[in-house]
Amino acid sequence: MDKLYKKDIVFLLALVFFALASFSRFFDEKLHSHTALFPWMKEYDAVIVSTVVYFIIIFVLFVVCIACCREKYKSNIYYLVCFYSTFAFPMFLSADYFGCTDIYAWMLTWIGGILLVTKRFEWMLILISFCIALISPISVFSGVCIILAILIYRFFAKKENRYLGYSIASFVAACIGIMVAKMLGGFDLDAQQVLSLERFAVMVIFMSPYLYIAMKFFGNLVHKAESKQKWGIVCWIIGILPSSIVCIYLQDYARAFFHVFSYFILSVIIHIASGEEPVEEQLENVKEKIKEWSPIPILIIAIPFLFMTLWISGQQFLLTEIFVDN
Amino acid sequence: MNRGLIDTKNKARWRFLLMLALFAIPCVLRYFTGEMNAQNTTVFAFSYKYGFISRGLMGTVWKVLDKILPFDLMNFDSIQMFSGIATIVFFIVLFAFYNTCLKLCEDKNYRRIEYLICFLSVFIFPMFVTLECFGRLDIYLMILTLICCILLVKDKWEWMIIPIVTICVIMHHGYVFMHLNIVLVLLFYKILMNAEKRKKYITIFAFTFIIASILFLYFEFFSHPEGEGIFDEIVSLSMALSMDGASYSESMVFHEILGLDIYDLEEMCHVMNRKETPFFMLFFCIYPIIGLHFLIKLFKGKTTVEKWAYFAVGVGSLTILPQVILKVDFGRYVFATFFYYITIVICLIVMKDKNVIKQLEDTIEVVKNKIPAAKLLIVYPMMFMPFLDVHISYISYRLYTLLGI
Repeated sequence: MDKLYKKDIVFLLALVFFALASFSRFFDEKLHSHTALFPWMKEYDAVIVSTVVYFIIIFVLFVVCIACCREKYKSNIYYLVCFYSTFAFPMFLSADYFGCTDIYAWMLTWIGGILLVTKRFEWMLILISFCIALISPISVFSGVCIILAILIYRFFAKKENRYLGYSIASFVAACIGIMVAKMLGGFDLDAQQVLSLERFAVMVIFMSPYLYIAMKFFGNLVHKAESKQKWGIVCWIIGILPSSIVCIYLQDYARAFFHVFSYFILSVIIHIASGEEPVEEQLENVKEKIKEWSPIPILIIAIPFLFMTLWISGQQFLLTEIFVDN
Repeated sequence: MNRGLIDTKNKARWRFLLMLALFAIPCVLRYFTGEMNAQNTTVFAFSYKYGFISRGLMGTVWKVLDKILPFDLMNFDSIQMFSGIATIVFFIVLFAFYNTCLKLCEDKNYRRIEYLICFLSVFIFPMFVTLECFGRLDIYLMILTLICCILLVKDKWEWMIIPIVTICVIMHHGYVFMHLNIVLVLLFYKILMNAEKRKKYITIFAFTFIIASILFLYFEFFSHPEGEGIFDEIVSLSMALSMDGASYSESMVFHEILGLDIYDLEEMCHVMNRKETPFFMLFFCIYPIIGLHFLIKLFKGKTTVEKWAYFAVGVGSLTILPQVILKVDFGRYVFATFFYYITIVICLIVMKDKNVIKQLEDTIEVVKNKIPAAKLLIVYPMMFMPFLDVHISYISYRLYTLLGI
């Protein structure tokens, strides 16, 4: 791991301010009832501590990713980190998701991300997958899928069999985790139906440019990849399906959005930080395309500022609903 | 110029404006509630039926329309609809201002103007659709101020500034502190920098300044001699026009109709302002630092005339200071400050001021070198918008309440 430079530290300090701003904007002190494997997870104080730890771990992940990223792509990782923060910071501060067990699953996923970036103790991913499934079964489709997608991509890209072994073992561990959770009575998907189908439809329209960007990114990545590597990328794309299907089936649309964006942005961040050249190059290409296509490229990162509040903690009367309801 | 090049420029301009419109839509969708607070409906109960009173213009127009049109306008729904139309007009004028600036600016500055416009839009788009500011007189004042800016950058019909400013001050005499600074500073700048048309600009400046000052003094001190006689009627009409049919803005009626000093009535708001402002500054201090860097460097090594012009640009926003000291709508004042500086810089670039262009380039370079991912500074305020009225931003307000201060 490389060291952090002064500008990295300045960036991270600015991000701390952003986290503080998110906290004051989205945190409204209310704790709704959520299912949890252990009773202490429902305690207000425990939830506060976990939320603080959630923020600490995401910052550790960012520090590791920024430190490991190649100098040439530093600015890309800054923007990606900011983009991811617009989703990850407010999500579990808003009343509907504050105290959800997802928070533990995401912490574990990020720890997994740190191991994947640093390429140390990767065998621990098996244990992490088990714990994610045990604590928050719904997160198997998000957190575990991210880990599996990256492991499988690496297996095809680097042709190292240990990654195949880790992915199979992680998958098995996640299945065992679900079974244990079911035995212990902690198997509950804890769906929060906070976003109506109508608003979800409006959101999909607003977010469609991101779908286009993702399609461009993966389309070119597949196109330029060698035959075996293609399979890794295809697995990476397919990895989003379980989470989206489950969340949409449960009508937990806000979570579906969060999972989809987290899955892609987080996996790209991890790949960039790990120095995956095809991903780095493709990100650079997409960035150039966005610059050509949009006269205000920075808005691509900023728009979720508006939408995060709209999906999750928008308490106000919305014009969208006037349109749809009438 | 080559026809193909002109087409490409036009295409780029329309693409940018379309993109901006697409950005405006979610901003409005997110924050528009359709609600209006009593402050914004009470003003429709004031009219010149009661004499030449302060803030009576809108109410008078409203009463005239009520008589002319075949349907009843004296209800909240009509005011809400009218405010909606005014908001749409405001967006049209705002985009006309953007279009004018993009059209008139030099090619080499095009990109910078785009970014400045984007930065201004982050503040403006969500500002006037909230409960606090939807239908507020500010929106009409903004429309007229933007029209003045268009006239000034276009160098056309500049005499119109005198009647426009007169209307603004009659509409709301607080305009003298809030947005008149942009018009006066641009006129002062033209007096100093445009020797050929100096007489014309001196005349416009003098008339604008004198008329605005006289009207302000009149409305502040002499416009409420019969306040007690009309108080009850105005209150009952205000209540009839309000959203819940039972509320009115005490502070506005007390101050504008009875001529009372409402400092004590707003004491709680002053306390809140004092608590909230440091938190807001903590989050926003980067912008004053960049602004100061820009202005100080702009001031250095220039001729005496230029120094006076840039001094006026730098201190122009201080006209808001009396409002900050005496009144309580800090959210509006912060917005007015940002609006002033961004708009002035845009106008000066469009007016081809070489020093401002050069200094802007230098400042951008410094910011880029010192701050990683510096472009995020353009969109960072989105997190804090919309600014409210007494409370500056939801974030700073929440922070001091969460900390129990």
